[in-house]
Amino acid sequence: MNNKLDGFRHFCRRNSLFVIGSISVILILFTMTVGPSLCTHDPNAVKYSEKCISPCAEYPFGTDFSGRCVLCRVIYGAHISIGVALVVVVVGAFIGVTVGIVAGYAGGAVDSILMRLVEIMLSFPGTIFALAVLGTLGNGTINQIIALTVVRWAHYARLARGETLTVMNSDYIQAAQAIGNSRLRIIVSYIFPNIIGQIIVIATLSIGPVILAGAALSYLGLGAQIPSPEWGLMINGGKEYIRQAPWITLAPGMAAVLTVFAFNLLGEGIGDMIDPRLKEKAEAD
Amino acid sequence: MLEFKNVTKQYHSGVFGTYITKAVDSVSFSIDANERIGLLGESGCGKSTIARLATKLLYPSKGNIVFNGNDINRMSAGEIKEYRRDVQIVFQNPQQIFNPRMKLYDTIAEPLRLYKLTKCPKEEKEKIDEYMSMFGLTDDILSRYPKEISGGQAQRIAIMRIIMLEPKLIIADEPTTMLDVSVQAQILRLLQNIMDVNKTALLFVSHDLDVIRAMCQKIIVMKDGRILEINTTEEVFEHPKDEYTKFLVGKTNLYNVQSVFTA
Repeated sequence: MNNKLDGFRHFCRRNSLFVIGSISVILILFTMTVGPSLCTHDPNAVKYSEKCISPCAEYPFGTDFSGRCVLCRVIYGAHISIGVALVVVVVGAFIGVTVGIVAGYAGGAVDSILMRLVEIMLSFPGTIFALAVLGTLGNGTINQIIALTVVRWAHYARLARGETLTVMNSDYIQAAQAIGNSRLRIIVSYIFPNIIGQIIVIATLSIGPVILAGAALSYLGLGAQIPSPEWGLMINGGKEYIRQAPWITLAPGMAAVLTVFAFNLLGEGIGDMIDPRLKEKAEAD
Repeated sequence: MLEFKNVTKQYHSGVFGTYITKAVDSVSFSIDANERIGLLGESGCGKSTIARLATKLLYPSKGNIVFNGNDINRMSAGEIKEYRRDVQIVFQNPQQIFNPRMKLYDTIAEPLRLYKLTKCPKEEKEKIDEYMSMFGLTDDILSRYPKEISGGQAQRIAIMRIIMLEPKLIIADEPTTMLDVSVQAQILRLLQNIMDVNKTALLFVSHDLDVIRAMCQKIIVMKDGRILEINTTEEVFEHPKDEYTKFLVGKTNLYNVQSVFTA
């Protein structure tokens, strides 16, 4: 038992970034899932008699211009903001990794066509491209997810292709071919397990930017719609009251900042744990 | 059994692919069943290219490679699978040929699973245990990852994996170059025993004269992608015909051949 404890301490000291990051992310996810049931106020209950109350015991983060509890709204909003980002990253990474592995493994014409497509996607500025997609699809959370995924997948595809090419050059792929593995088996049990570490690091690091991009779209009124407690939307709503009631904008803003920070810590931590060299790569992306 | 007919492998380089490098230049030779042939030559002479051509890891630019009457690059999917089983290759760098994310048990069981040689996990385990003791390997390495074992152990596992498939031809691409001398002798003795017991043919690629002399009955001497001389081991060492062979063989007396095997 003592041995295990020592081992755990050693692990924590060596991977302090990972430990701090995962604790913060777990705390955030915990707040997100359990928080709503602890809220005593309805996040959408309008009460004009209690509008713009500064933070007090009953309303820790104060109330907004419609008398709604800001804390409750931030907690409920986490569902939307973080949920959207997680779905975007998971779906985007899935599409991107599939495309990237196929391109890297097949090579030749398939590779050229897929990678030109990826380069076209990457040549548009992300936010503006998402705006254009939302402009065609219309507002709403689902469309926001689609728009952000369309923007993100190409990043993962390019990374997955590069990693696939590195792995393809290694001797164990040749050995796997020589002993008689089929193409599918080489992809599934050789290439995929050897590139997934890098993909996880980049995916975790990109959750933060995706949360911010999602909030930006909502701020512009293209994502979640009023009266949803989405963070970007809350900041937009509170901006006219920023002198009298700064907490209306400050609370969701700080929530977004802290969440992004936590996911970035986790991403860096996983990266350090898997391969210290990865850090530089992620920063360059 | 395996025959190279005027095989050429060339690479294009330069911006417009105008520079042509011939790694292997119209090479013809054949290996019969139960024959042990050494492929001798300096680094970069195309030895490894031949090993990779024979195992279908590379495709020839010109010429045919024929196995029991079938061109190996015009086989159907079923024939390819059978060919992969019959012709196996031992690589130079044993520690880099296993999937780093796979435990060694799965790596060792891989050929059994690919060719469905065992019916259930229990039988698979028994078969692996049997081979492990035959190769002098202990059970504890089965739960390890490839980077956690030594080069000698890795090469023994690599050979073991191949032997499980009972191939008709083993191509050994400098299997001992990366190992230290005492381990080299173990690996060579192991290979020799297997050849004797299973009556397997061997194409032994090496630049080490002593090792080739001890392992092979026939020697192919290569330089710059071309074959200079094919002859029996005795002839090559006692009466070399080609000037380059004479130059190579002249160096062999620097150390004693037998010392490698008695170590």
